[in-house]
Parts: sequence; structure tokens; C-alpha cells
Amino acid sequence: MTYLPLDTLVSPEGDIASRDKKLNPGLQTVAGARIMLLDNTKSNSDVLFDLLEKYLLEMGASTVTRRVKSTAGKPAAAHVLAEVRDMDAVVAGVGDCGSCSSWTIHDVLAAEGLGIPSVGVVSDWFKHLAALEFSAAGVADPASRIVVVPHPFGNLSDEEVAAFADKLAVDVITGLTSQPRL
Amino acid sequence: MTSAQSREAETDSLAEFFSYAVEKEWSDGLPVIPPTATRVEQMIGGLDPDRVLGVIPPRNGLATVRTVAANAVMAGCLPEYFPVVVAAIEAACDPRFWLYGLIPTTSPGGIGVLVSGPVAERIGVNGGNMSLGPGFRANMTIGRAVRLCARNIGGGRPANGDMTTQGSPNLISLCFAESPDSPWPSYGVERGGMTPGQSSVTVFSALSMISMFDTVSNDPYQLLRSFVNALTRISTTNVLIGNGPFAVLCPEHARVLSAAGFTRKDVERFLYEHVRVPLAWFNPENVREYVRKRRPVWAYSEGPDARIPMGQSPEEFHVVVSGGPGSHSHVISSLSESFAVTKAVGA
Repeated sequence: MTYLPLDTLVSPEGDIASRDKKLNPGLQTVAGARIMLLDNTKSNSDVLFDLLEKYLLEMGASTVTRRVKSTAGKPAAAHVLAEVRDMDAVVAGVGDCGSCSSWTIHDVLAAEGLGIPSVGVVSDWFKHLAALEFSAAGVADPASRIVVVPHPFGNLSDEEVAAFADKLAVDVITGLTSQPRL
Repeated sequence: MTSAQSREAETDSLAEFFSYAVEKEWSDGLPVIPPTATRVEQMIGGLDPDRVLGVIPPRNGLATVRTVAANAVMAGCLPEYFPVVVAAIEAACDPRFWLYGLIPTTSPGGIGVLVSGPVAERIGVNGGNMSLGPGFRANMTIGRAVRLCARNIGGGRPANGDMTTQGSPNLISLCFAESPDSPWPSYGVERGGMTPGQSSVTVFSALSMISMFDTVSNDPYQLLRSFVNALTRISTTNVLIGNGPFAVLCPEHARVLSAAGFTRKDVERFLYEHVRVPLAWFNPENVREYVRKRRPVWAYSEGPDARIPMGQSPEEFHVVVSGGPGSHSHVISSLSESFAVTKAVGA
């Protein structure tokens, strides 16, 4: 027996503000590319990005620019975004908590908004949050631009980070050279 | 249908809606009232239903008056509470409040809602005995309405948009009024920039709470020492990554301080100057990864005797008076990047 007139209910979710973000076409190749690694200060991000920098240079990247945010809990500073305009690609991370993963995706979307293909690195537990945030911005198929490291991440030893750094580097290059569905 | 049968049908229908709301993930796990078009219209009153109060992340849902009203109905609010809910949502959507971090964060970040001014008494938001709850419909349902907006409009659902590791009872509802027996001018006036007699809502992030028990201190410095001790215990997150607390003083404690000539500002400054955590309390990993990276102003004091404050300034400390008779206060730590925001009610 149904007493409730479901058709008269007002949705408590409502509409989404705007879904106007688009991902930029990926790089043809990382060879010759100017790439920024945007470190959010979270533990081990520097260790991982040291290894990633080395790998990207070996793959022929022309420059790797390292920038560190003042805090993981805020967007990248305006002067960093100004430098992003002179890059060919950006890698942001590592998000290994709820708020810092959100701000990682925020930075990726900001860089994409400047026309620069970018990937966000988050730990495994936060990949759904990252996908939700891409989707809320209008990016339905962000999969390759979210690159995942194991969770927990911040308390790994340097050796444990090194053990998956090569795979991470391959995933980053796959992400940066992926062509989003438009 | 007899009246008893009709009542039973209505009750069944409410139970049925509760199950439906759980299935749709609209409920926080407690019963909710169906947001029918009629109830939502009554909640909205004379406001423009399409007015946008803000955008709630991470889903980037549009917090229109209509959608916020649907959540207020579900939470159990009466229509006369709605202007307070509206002001709270507007305040929470101010970027200084940092909802983009607060909702997804793994930290247990409650949304504290402080109601100041005559609206509190008019609609029954309790600032006296048991003001922090439970037991008062306005307190419980206004706080819950705000949280349901975070869940439904913002998409903050467990392990999806809301990644809180353990959660907290603060995430159900936390709303209270200032005590009418406060010896100081209202927080809304002194800190929120309101004019006397103006009603306001302040939202603040509520991380962990500790009860501060002191029934014997009549000397203001001894009483403040008890507050310093309590805050120093819960301050570790704020010391590691910044920001200050909300101290909810009971009227008896506030009167001891006021009688000795302390203003609210004096108390806030005293707490800022005296709540200091020795660097030696933290292990080397936390000093390396947090204190030095996130509190750089203090990081050059590297000796183990170095003492690190909560917050960067006395303005990051907030003192408010609430509660009934008795000598129990609360101190509440905050999220590092989330700052309290005050908005006028009905403006």
C-alpha cells in the first residue's frame, strides 16, 4: 500500500551549478614538453616527484619545473598559476586525504582552464572523490587524468615509494597524452 | 476511514518515506519528514524560491531557497526557523568557511551554527540549559538542516563526497544560541559586526570538543588557567596545521572573568598568548611534515622547549557564552583553513 505521493516531493538535491569545464587534448608526447610538478606539501609527495622528475627527463621532457604550495588545504597561488601558462603539462598531488585531494583536483581543473593538460595524483581511497569533483565540473570521463598511488601513502618509506614510482610515471604519461572524449 | 485508521495511514506513509529517503541516500540515518510541495512552499514563505544562496561542493549543487527549504522540511524545521537556515547556508557558502575542504575532509568537521540576537528567543533556539543539545527542536533541526544541505546539495555522502575517517556526533547537528545571561555584549555584535538588536548566524568548524570543568576558581587567572589546560590538550591539530578554537563559556565562568574586568577580547588574547604546545610533544615526523611546513612562522623555534600557539593571532580565538547554571564549559577545536563567518538573519 502506498500512501505517499512521491510525484509531489521537492528534490533535496537540486541542480548542479555549472558543468562547463572541458579537458584539453593531451600531449602528443612528453618529449620536448615543459612540465610542472605541483607539490602540495603532503608527506612523500617530494619523494615521489623526485623520482617522477628523473623519469620525465629520461623520456625527453625539455624542462621539469618544481613548485610547492604553501599548504595542501588551499588552491595553488596566483603566481604559480601564472607560471602554469608557460607549461605544456601539469602534474599535481599527492592527495591522500579528503581536503587535499579536493584541492589537488581544484588545481588540475584550474590548469586545464588555462588550456594546459594536467593530471592529479591521489591515493586509492580518494579516486571516487576525485571523479565526483571532475564530474561536478562537467568532465564526465576523467579516468586517465586521475592517477592513483596506494593508500595509505604518507607514511611509506622511500623504498616503498620507489617500488611503484615507475608504474606511476607510466600512468602519468598515459594521462598527459590521453585524448579526452569530447 | 475512521480517524484512527487515517492516523495510522499517515504514520505508515511517514515510515515508508523514511525508507525511501534512506534508499535515495537523502537521510542521515534518522527519520525525515517528506518534502512535499506544500510543506516546502510553507517553509519558503515569502522568499524567492529560485534565489541562489550559494554553491555547495564537492557536487557543486545549487543551494536555491527551494532546495534548501526541502532539506529544512526533511530535518523537521518549522517555517519560522527558515530565515536562520538561509543565513547559515549563505554564511557556510562564503569561501572563508572553506566548504570545499570541510565537506570532503577526512577530519571530523562539524558545521557549528551560533544564533545571536532576538531571533533566538523568538523562534526558540535555546541558549540556556542544554543548549548544545539534545532536547530543543529549533537547535536540533536547524543544525541538521544545514548538514542535510551539505549531504544532499553538496553530495557529501559517506566514502563518496564526505571522506571523514570516523565521523562525529557533531556532524549530525550542532546549533545553539548565546546565553541571555552573558555578561558581555553579544558575539554577533562584538565579533560579527552586527548592530545591537540585530540577529545573526555564525558558522564555525567544530572539530573536537572537550568539557572544561572548574567549580572552584574565583580568581580569573586560575579559571583561565583551567581553560588553557583544556585547550592545550585538544589543540594538537590546530598547532600542527593552524587556526584557533571556539570556546563556549557557561555564564558562571563568564561572570567570574567579567567581574574581574575581562572583556571578551581580553579573554581571547589571554588564551592566544597562553595556549602554547611544546614542540617536544610532537614526534620528529610530525615536526618535519607539519609544524615546519604548515606553521612556518614558528618553525624556526626548533628547540624542544619551543612553544607553538594555536592559531596565528588572537582573532582566531572565539569566545561565546551559552548554557545554563553549573560550572561546565566547552572548548572546540577547528579545521585549519576554515574561518568563522557571520551573516545577518533576514537581510
